[in-house]
Amino acid sequence: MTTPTPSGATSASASVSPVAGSAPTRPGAPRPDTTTAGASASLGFLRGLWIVTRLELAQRIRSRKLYVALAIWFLVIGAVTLLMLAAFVRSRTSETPDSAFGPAAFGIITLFVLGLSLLVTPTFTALSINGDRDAGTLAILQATRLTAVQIAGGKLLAAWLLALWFLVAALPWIVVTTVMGGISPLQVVVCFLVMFVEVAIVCAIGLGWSALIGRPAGSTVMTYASVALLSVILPITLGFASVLTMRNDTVHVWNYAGDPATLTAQANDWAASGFAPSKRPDWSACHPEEQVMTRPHVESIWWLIAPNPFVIVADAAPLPSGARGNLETWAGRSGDPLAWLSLLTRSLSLPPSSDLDQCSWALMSDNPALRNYEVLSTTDGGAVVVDSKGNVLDTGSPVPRRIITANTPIWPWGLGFSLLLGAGMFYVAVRRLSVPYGVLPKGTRVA
Amino acid sequence: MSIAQPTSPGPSVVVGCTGIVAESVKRAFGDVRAVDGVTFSAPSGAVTALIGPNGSGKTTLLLVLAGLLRPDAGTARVGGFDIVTENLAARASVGWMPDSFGTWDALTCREILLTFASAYGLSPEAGRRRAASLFEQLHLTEFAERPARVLSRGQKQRLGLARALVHDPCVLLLDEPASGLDPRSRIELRDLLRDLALEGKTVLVSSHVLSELEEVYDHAVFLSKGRTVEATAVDARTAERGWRLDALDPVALRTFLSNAGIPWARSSGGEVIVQLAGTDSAMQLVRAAVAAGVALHTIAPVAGRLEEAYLALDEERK
Repeated sequence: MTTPTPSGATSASASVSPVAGSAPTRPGAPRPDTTTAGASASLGFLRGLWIVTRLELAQRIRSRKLYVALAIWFLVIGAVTLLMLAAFVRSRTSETPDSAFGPAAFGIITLFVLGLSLLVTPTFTALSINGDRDAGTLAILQATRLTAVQIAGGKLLAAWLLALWFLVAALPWIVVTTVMGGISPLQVVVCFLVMFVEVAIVCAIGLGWSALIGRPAGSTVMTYASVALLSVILPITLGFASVLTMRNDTVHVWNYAGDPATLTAQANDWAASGFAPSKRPDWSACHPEEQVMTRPHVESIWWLIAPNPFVIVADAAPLPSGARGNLETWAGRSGDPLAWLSLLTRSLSLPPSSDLDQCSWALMSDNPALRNYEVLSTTDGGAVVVDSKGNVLDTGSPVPRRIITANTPIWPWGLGFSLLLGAGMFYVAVRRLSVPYGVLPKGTRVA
Repeated sequence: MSIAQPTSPGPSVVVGCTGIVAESVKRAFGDVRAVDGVTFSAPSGAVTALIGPNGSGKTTLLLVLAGLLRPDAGTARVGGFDIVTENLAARASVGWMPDSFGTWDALTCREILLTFASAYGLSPEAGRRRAASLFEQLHLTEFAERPARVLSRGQKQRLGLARALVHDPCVLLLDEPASGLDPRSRIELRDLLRDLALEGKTVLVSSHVLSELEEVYDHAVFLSKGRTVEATAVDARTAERGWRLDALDPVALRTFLSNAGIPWARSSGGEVIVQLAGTDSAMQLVRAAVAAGVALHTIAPVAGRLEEAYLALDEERK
């Protein structure tokens, strides 16, 4: 009769009851071989990683959805690029060369591709762990000799390679924008590489959320929310928070006490001499007055936009060597949105100037049609004088002018922070995939 | 039918596969104590049945033994490896077939098996040979190049079994392996489990369908409310149980029983069911019936051994 193996059965063979037609345990019989190499043989890290990557990629590559998405992606970016180029060609005047539009065209398309990538990339990983768990394919992988790092890493690598496909599909159009000139191959390569790193970070964020949240809808929302936080919400926060940084400052406001017409006449002579330094206007009637102004001090919170993907790509984009010394001039002349974004970020990171130039406006008291220079307000409330080509001129004004350069990059800080964030989310995914499970995420089952 | 050895043609001695030993294993999910003190051992070279009602913790216990869940308390060793401190080695020596699992839609059956072969560290060549022999053995060869999504439930189940066997593990944990299988596949599964046990593997198999296990198991472990319970030791000689009787002339049989004062009932098949106090009574009844000229040709217990033991569990369904 059946003797179920009792708790803590001591002797196995004692409790065996032979079953008709089948042999019971044969004591002393040699144990046949099992080819389980078992504990000793190790599964190489890269081999294990690639097993998971291949598995993930096969799922995507064999689905027609991927190719449809890639085709739509290619066509949308192409249509926008061609439209933009057509608009530039139509709007240019006979004397402006095509290359004047080059940086603007390149910058716009680069930012556009980055924006679309940020929309597409979350879908590559936001479901990769909880989706597999729902499909019942995660636990059987975890039960193999694959480690959590190999599973998470393989999934990340697969998503990254997929994102690379999309970036590569956009590359032809980015290259097309460079035909207008003014863009070096280095610029294309650097922007591409930084975007490649950015999408990897987004992939890692999605992976982390898909490990943390059991419900696919939840992890998708959180991944998009994370991307939105970096690219949209933090800049908006900066905008509102800047009001809170308002402080009373004592500012030197420089006013022109003399007759502006005199100064304008001098300036016209100066212009006629080809802006010779010896013919600069006479500023002796320009005097500072102390004035208390309430101004925002955004420099204390500017870092909120440092991890913004657009800012990172924009600031990382190499500039022509002559442009680095004065970012404002270059941005104004080229219309390059990358330069503008970089300039904006850098100007936000600087404290507002303690001098305010209102003298330079006195240079404009004549008929503007006769003038071949122009006074422009600057972002810090001052003014600069530029010639017809957009070069900033040194008028000799006693007001110290602030020049924002691109000599020290700020993007490594933002990218570094983003990389830490991505690494943190990857770590979360690894922890959540590690078996044996201690605590299970709420609402999830192992298998 | 035997599991083909991918690398060594004949049996040889394996070192270190020592079956399953669990001691006071506990595992809770929040307030739910899914496994609440499980102690048992499953020796190698035998099929051990894991039996218990729904929610008794069978699946959780198998997850713990597969190295996926950390026990809150207690220890367990599979194939000689501690499932917590030697988790990777334990996982490598276990083949686990969960009660439900998915497949990768885009992959063919062969690709799935090859993927798992490599995930268990088999060389591509060994994986290919192993996959081919498993397909052959589990009658999946014609589906090998088809995507797994087109398989029927029973075929998927067989693929899952192949997957669990792909690295020729010394310990097999099968959670309801027979569900979805047609009768023929069930019989083949039974034979396969026996062969695996004969090869020296440790086979732990859970099932609700006790008749499936009846002819294949060597030991049984009973779970109830997360605990291993000792099934009431049923003495076959004296324990009362139902017996099924049939004779060439049913009327004569019934008359004989009525005359002998043995209460009987008709089963749906026209046979007669009587309650007898163990094998001794059965033997006496046969003797008396034959002596009385009743052409008795069938006498068998109504329920199998496992079912008897299962139903004898006191802590069942409340």
